[in-house]
Amino acid sequence: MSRIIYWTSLALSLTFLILPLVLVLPLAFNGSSFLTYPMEGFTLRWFEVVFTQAPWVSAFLNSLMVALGAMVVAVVIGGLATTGTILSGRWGQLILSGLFVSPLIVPSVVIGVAFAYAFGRAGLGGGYVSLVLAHAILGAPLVFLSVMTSLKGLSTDLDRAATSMGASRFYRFRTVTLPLAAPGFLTGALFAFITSFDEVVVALFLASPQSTTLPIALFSGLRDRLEPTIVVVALLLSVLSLLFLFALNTLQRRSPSGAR
Amino acid sequence: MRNAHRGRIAALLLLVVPLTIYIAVYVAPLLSIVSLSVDNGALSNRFVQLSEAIGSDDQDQRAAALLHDLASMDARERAEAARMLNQELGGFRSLVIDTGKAAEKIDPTMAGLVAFDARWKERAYWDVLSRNLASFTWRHFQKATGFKPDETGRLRLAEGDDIYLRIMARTLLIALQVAVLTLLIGYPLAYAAANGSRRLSGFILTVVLLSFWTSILVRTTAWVVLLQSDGLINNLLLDLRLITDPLQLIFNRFGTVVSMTHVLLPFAILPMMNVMKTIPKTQVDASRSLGAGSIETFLRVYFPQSLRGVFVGGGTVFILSLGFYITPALTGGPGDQMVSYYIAEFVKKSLNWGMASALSVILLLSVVVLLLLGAGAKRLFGGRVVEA
Amino acid sequence: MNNITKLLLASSCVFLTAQAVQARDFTIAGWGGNYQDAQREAYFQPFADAKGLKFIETTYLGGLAEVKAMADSGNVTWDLVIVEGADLQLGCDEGLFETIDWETIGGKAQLNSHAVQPCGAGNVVIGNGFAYSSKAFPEAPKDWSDFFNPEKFPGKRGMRNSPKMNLEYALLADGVPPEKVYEVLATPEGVDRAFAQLDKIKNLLQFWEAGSQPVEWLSAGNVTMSTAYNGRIITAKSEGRPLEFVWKNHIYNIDVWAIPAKSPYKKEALEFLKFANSAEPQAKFSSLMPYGPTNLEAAKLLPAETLERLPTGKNIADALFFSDAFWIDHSDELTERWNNWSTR
Repeated sequence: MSRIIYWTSLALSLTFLILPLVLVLPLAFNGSSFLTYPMEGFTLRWFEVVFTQAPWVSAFLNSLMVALGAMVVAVVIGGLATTGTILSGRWGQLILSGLFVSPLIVPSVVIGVAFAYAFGRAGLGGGYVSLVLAHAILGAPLVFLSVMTSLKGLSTDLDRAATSMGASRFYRFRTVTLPLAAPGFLTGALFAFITSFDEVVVALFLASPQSTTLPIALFSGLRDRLEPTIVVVALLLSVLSLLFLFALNTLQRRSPSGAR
Repeated sequence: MRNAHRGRIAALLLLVVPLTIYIAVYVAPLLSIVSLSVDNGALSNRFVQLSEAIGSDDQDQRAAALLHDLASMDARERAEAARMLNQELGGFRSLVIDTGKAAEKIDPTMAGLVAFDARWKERAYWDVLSRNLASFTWRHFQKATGFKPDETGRLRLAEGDDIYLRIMARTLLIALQVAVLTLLIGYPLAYAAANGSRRLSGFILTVVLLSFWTSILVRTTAWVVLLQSDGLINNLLLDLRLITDPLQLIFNRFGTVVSMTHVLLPFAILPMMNVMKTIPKTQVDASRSLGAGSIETFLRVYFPQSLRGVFVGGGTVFILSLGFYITPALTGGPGDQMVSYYIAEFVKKSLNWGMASALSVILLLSVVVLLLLGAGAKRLFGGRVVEA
Repeated sequence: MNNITKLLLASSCVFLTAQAVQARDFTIAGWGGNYQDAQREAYFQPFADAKGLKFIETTYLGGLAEVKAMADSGNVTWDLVIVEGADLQLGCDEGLFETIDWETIGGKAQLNSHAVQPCGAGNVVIGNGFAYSSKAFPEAPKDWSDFFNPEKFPGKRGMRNSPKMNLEYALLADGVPPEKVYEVLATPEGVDRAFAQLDKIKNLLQFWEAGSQPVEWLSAGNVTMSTAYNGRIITAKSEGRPLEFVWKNHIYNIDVWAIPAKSPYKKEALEFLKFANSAEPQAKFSSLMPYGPTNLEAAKLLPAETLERLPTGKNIADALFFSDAFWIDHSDELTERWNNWSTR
């Protein structure tokens, strides 16, 4: 009896979680322009459309540039923030962590409104710079958290050994702890990249036509007309997530502490 | 001593850059919308003379002050002021623009004003003006909550003004529905990931993480394709002859809640799984060996211990749902949009930054309050910190 | 430290390239879809070819947020945008659009008088009426009172989620003659009367946001009738979809080309307006997309079967011209009432 309940509920839940993407994504290869089964042959022509049509291509390039820029800025501020926080006192750590992590909990619409207003006032409205800065703020908490986790997860033995040899706290930190945290930085960088690449709400408020990103193009496409090209873009974004997860997994295996 | 000192200085040096960027690019914009939600500079700075004359009993003095103020604005300032006044009272815009264009030619008395446009005779326009001359205003919050002061100054909820209150109630309701559904659907998955065989739990974890890192937009797209009237689900049901006409599955509450549940499911599963992994298997075995059935064991031994994960997972989903915009916008109808949608509409369509800011502040405050409540509950009920 | 220096260098490179990209091409913002496809063929491409100009296009979703942001930040990224009349008026008053010297762009006389605006040139006449699925009813619905009559014409109705035009439709259905509609709507009783009509079909309504949705919904059988733009329906009909558009008492409005203030391509944009005002490209556009020309000569260049598809000539004999002035004054309060009504 209990086994039946367990397996049925598990099967239903798994179906709900997996089936939508498994059913919909293959339609990117559908021969007809209708998004439904049975598929009428296999075609790559929708991919061709996406890879050759100017709006999709430029949106992809924009997304790539914004995500790379945001990643670099997020790693710099997130990394400095973590190392600075770790070296502060107990209360300092608490307050600083709260501040640095807080963008994760502010609803993105609120961030969008606030940034659109403030950046507009500062004359930064509607360009790459504003998108990069905004996405860096969204990515920095993830860098902060992953570096922090990898620093805290480090074995204290090495640190203690260094202390017993008379190394100062800062020296210890710089020569022993920091190099070991490198995988944390890489993980954080990946988080920041994918966050920016997938972000749509804040971008909707900030982007100008010249800096339209792929998620914005997908969003307006969904509202305008439902075409197979939209599923192609969705599929490409999913493949990117898959690659990202793979990279993350590889990184975690290599990291000395195995921390997330 | 010297070493500790050096560490402190290093910390400060390292923090200069991130703190500066955070404050300039993040904290300052958030504070700017807080001030924007009560700021009335666009009106108070432009009706300088009128704000002094409005208290006087001399009608002509008020009329002259108004005309003087209107004449001293340039066309753009006047249009902006007119747009804001029109948000308070329909028709005010054209009245201000027309009067403003002719301000220098109008006789600076009340009679002159009324002769130019009879609407100036009506009290309603003057009331709106007198309420909006201070540099600070609660009017956006009054509109957002529906509570306005009546003649006696007491706050009252006026009939038909409760639209944003109802939208907030709807937002909370949808968030609650989504949280409950994610828990129901997520619990078996979390359980299997924590207690299943190595292969099963590995598989589930991979699927959950993959879903977690797949863009919200992509997953919403999938639901739009699935739920359309000639979409996959309807076609399947029609082919199976279960229905004769396509069901309306999208652009309504059903579509909103289902797609949001799917999007937020990983946020419920991961914390539950983390807690379940800490529940010792020996307890379950002990209960079974004492003769309890598997269902009874689950309900009395396992489930209560997993509740902490349920609360963290459900709370996370609930709080995240409150700010949702993209998914309801694509799968919901007009009756299913949440606060965020209206915030975006105010910015994009009607340029009403005051209302957008006021609603943003309310949304942000609710999230913060809920988080504090959650943290308080965690402290109250003890238990280790669960890392989500 | 070395690594951090490298990161900083890399990030500054990203910023520099980002800045370099912003030296941009002539940018036109349109409504997307088939509409913009037809504009490209009739206007953008011929104009760009003639002037040897490179242009890029973008989609615009209505409202003034983008244009206002450009004016505030000084970073003007559009050179031409096709807006609705109300937004043109609002933007013009607030100085968001360039004012136009009509003598330099071919004069006022060649255009419909509604198309001549201080900050814009009206270009496209759009018919707003309702469409029905020709498979849905034995007897065809003929006017607005049929649209608001659920007993005689059962089934769901699509409607744009906005009070604009819908309140007018409701009054027309209630027997108000077109020329009196705005007079009645300006009174509180008139607004109540419109909402009372809407109440009759409220539980049948399904709201659309994008102009493509009525076509999709009608073809899929989601709704049996829907308010719609004439262009979308007539194009879909010519592609073989079983749809009909009802011209009786439709409301027509004019989309207007405007130039965002301080556009670096103002000269080119004005030349574009001159080109867009002339008869030949307008006739070409109307043959591609069934919207009407504003140039008074353009209709003469079109064959009779094309004219039948357009909101011109006999099709607008009993039509109502959409009042931007009314909606500029009343949009805030009526939208609030509409939201209050539609979400309850």
